[in-house]
Amino acid sequence: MTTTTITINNPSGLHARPASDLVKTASKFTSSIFLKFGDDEINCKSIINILSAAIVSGSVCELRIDGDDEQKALDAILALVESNFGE
Amino acid sequence: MMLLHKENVFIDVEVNNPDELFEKIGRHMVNGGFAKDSFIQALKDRERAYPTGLPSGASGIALPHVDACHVLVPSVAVARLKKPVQFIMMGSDDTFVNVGVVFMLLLESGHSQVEMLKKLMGIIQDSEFLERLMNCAASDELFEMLKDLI
Repeated sequence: MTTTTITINNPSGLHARPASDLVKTASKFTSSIFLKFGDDEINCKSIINILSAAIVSGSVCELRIDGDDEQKALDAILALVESNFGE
Repeated sequence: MMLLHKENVFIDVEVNNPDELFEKIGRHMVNGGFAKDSFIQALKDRERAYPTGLPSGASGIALPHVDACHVLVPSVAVARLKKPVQFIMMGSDDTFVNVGVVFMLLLESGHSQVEMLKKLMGIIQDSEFLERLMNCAASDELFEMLKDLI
């Protein structure tokens, strides 16, 4: 398992478009991929989970990835977050 | 701010595909002064690039929306469809969802979309509420169910 802290910095937070990008990226990997945000455990492969969490800009989350391809998944998700989801 | 107006809530909307829905309800929002002329094409383009269908118990829902630059007055239009229409699922390229209720979001940029989406996720995960919503006999009744939630 790999764990890292990320900050969501795109100005509008995880609204529909960046949430879609996150689901698409996470779904490419077999590892389980979760964000811990406050008390919420968010499955990054579930769009409804992500949108229910209302993650606004500046939110700090813990990214937890567990599985055979966890390193590749981590790299891909960090790249997406660091690009501010293209915003 | 009051986002839901009675005149923007519809039941028994008859359309065959998302584009027809965008033309019908989108036109209504343009004519009502809620959106710019560019709104209808923007809905079609956005839905193709980033689909908004979501599966749910009683009926799939869709949340079409556009960038804030096409919006004049922040608001939400609700259309319950006479027969379901296929949308592509949000976060997928090719998974279809049969959509019976559409929440068309005309929002300002910033945090408002994230907060609205959270509210709507609450609605679609409440299967009993959604079931009642699907069974409303009149648009006024639908409006009354939603006005304090949106």
